[in-house]
Amino acid sequence: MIIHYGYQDGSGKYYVSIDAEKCDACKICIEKCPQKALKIETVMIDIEDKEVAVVHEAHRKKIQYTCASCHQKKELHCAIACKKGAIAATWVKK
Amino acid sequence: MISTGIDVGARNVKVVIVNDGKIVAKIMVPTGFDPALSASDALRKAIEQSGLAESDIKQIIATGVNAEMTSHATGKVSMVRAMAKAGTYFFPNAKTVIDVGAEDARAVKCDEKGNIADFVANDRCAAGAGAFIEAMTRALELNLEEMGALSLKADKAIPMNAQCVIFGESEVVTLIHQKTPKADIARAVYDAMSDRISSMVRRLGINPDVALLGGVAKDVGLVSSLKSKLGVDLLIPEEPEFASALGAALSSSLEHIEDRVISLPKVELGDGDNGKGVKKEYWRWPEYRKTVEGMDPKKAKVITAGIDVGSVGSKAAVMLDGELYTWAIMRTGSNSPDSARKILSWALEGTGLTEKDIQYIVGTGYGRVNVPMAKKAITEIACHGRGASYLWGPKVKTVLDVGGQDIKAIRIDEKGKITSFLMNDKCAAGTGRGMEVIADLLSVPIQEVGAHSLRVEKDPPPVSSTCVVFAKSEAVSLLRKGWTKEMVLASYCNAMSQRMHELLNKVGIEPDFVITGGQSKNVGIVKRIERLIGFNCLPLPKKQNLELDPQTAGAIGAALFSKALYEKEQKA
Repeated sequence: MIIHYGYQDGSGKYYVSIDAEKCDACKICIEKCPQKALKIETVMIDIEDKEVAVVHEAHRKKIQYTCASCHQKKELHCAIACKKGAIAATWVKK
Repeated sequence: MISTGIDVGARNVKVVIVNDGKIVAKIMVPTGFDPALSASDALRKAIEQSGLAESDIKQIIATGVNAEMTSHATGKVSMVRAMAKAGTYFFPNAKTVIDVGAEDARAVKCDEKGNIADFVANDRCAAGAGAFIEAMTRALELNLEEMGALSLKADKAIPMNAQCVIFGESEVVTLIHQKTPKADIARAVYDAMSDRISSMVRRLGINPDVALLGGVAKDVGLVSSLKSKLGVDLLIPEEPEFASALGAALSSSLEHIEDRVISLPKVELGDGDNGKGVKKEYWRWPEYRKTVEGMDPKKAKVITAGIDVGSVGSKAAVMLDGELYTWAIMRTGSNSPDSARKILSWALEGTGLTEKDIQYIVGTGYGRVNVPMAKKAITEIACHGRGASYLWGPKVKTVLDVGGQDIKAIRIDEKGKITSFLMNDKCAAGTGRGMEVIADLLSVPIQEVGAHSLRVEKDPPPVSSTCVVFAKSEAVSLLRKGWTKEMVLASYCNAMSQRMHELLNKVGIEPDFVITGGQSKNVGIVKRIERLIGFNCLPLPKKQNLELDPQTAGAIGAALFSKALYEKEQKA
């Protein structure tokens, strides 16, 4: 189950997408994120609960600013760090 | 040298006349319904105040969102440029200038001459703009000064989730009903707004000399909150609301002098529509309950229920052995537990069942953690996926749920399991609440919006901004241009459908496709989405000739989860 965090408004599209089935809650992404925007949370997949990495609530509505520095340098620390390839991002500015 | 600057803003028109580097006139009037007329009025008053003759005024530089509406301007300058000029006029050392307007905000990095090095603007979304505070003062029943002063007395910093102006209002109302002290709410409003502004400013890097301009700079509550968020002191001029007009005046240069005499018409500004008498609530949709006939709850082995407390509507569904038996839908009150109790008892009305007869209840929706009788809370994403599979059958692959305050795009496999989803709850554009705001503005009952929007020969281009705050001002200006209500609605539905389509593209669209939530009943949206994706939504589902309601998909999904969880519990 891929969970897309972020939003789209008049200014563009800003998402961090985490595959909750691939994620094994190893926490490497949490350590590597320069903005401390990730954390571990229980997510329900079908009727089973699973611990996975999620984007912090406080950052979900301002990803446009939170992730800006990584996108500018074209170095997505979270996605690079993830050994399972569970993290991806979308960044489209209008 | 005499130069004049005029800022035709979203809320107010400001005029500043500068004579040899000195300010000789400052005037502010409300923009009102006709920006062109208000601009003429403000200019005339400013000239009167300056003691100059109309023939002395050779240059008028306009700025602001409605700058093109005034025919008197001899030149135009961007707000970013005007603000940089004004910032360095007041504070020569200021390297960062922040301007917060009624509907937009911007931050400029500049050198000592007021030349722009970099800037960032928030002009596509009204979050973080003055309109946010204004809307919240209405909800708190305070005026601007009172709210600012009150916020400084707050004991607690409480978080506020809403960023969007439209959602902020309902969140504040909820906080009031929870008996949160007004001082704490006021502070939460300022903190939410300054959080947003500081995120924007941080992109430019913060230099120690930061100037704050624009009318919002007079608000002590915001200033105090923004100072602590940015961690620096703020330079604020006297009368910061005139900064934009002053900047425009300072932007004029000798090269552009045209020999023209400006003649200003005398204007009478009307009072506008004061809306005498009781205002009709066009956004109100009907509340109802239904029971499927011929089903006997006494024969049922498992009775389960789902309660979906949404931001706008509360829904309850009761199922007998996993088959839909009865449901109800009503407007969510300010108190989630009460709304949950009310909606369940209404769904059970006349069936002979009471809450005690129900073996398992799952709560879902925006207020899911506040459903007192629920054994478990499950996200609305999971419930809508499962509910859609029940309503339309297992062929459903893509679900678009348009709720009151969010839009969810969900992909499910043939087992009803979710493979991917996204939820957009940051922006009211395209949500049910956004549609209600427009229905109210145009005085068209919400259930008729879709049909009205289809009564156009050809679809007009979509409104340019999806932000509800901006779309509202755009709708007003389209009506002023002579557009019919139908055309404005068509234009708005068009913009909303495009936005929903873009969200759907993120998860991928595959038939069978369905829409759940309140907007599934809006033909103006359904038809346009079908046009965009190139195939039709499945028709509204039926059970024994009884029309089922896609708005209850979340509650139905929750009732189905209840059954699965109850059976799992029994086995264990």
